[in-house]
Amino acid sequence: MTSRGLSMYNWLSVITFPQTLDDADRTATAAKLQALLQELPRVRSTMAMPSPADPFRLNGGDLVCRTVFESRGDYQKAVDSQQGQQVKALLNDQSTAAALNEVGYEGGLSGGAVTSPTIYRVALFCANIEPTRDRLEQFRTETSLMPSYIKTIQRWQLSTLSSQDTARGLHHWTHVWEQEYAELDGLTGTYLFHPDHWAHVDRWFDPEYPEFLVDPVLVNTFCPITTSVILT
Amino acid sequence: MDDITVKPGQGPAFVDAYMKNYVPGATRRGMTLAFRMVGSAQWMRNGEPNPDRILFVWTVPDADAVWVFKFAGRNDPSVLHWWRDQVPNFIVSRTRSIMADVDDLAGLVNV
Repeated sequence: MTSRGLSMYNWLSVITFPQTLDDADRTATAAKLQALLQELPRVRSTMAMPSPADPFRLNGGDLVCRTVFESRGDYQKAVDSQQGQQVKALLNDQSTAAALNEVGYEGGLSGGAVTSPTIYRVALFCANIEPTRDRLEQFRTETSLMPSYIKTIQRWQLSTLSSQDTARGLHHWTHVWEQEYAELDGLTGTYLFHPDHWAHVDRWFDPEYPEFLVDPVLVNTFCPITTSVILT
Repeated sequence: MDDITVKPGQGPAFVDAYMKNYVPGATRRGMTLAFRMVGSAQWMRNGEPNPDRILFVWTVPDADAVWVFKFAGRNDPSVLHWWRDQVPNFIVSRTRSIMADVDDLAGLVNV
């Protein structure tokens, strides 16, 4: 079942640490970010989890930070707060984040039941190849139907960024595609190898198709979670 | 399957270009060209109202092989150059689709 009701506002960062940062420094930085994010005013939920090396990932970074607010206004107040400025300073510090992909976005189409997720996956897309309204709408429709075919997808959300949203990094990102899974194989096995993916929806990502829409440079990453993080 | 409607009179030239500019790379990416079918079983002359329709049918053994050729293709700028810059000179329209035998569908979705 798909819903499009009142939506939360989300702040997501995929951080790549400098190679000079050792494991202890990485753990300390993650803990510092987690603590700062938790102290943000009006925050609904937050996480800062390491993303493990895996061939499934693409520009997947080392740390995934995701924070949820009731509204864009709450997000803005949080970012403007002292703790928010400290987070921003860390994200903009090359000695902390050698590379950063960051988006702020209102939750879009969503669905799925919360059961017992252990994996959160997020992909950032830039739909910049002939992005007409009809093509974008068909892409959105087909992508949001994937969970009805791929049963390992639990909670999911497909969000479209507006010109007011933060979107920086490798691209000015246009879409955020998120899912939760009970186990990693549901993502790197079932999701990847289901025909709805490689024979259908991937048309929008493949330069060999006339439907080609999404820039091949994208962010595709995942991290462990202990509770559902996609709140609607 | 590439299902391509070619401008009248362009059929033979397009097949030559496809075989020269696309097939070698696709074969290296693991695809096997099984059929080259032309409707209506003849080349239409330039000026005819009805264009040629050409089906290039490729095969790969499994879903792994699909991802292998897909990722190799999107990391090769010549592939995009072929479809975006060269093919439009010959064609009216085209579709690409990936199909499977009806007897294989249950197994394919059970992953």
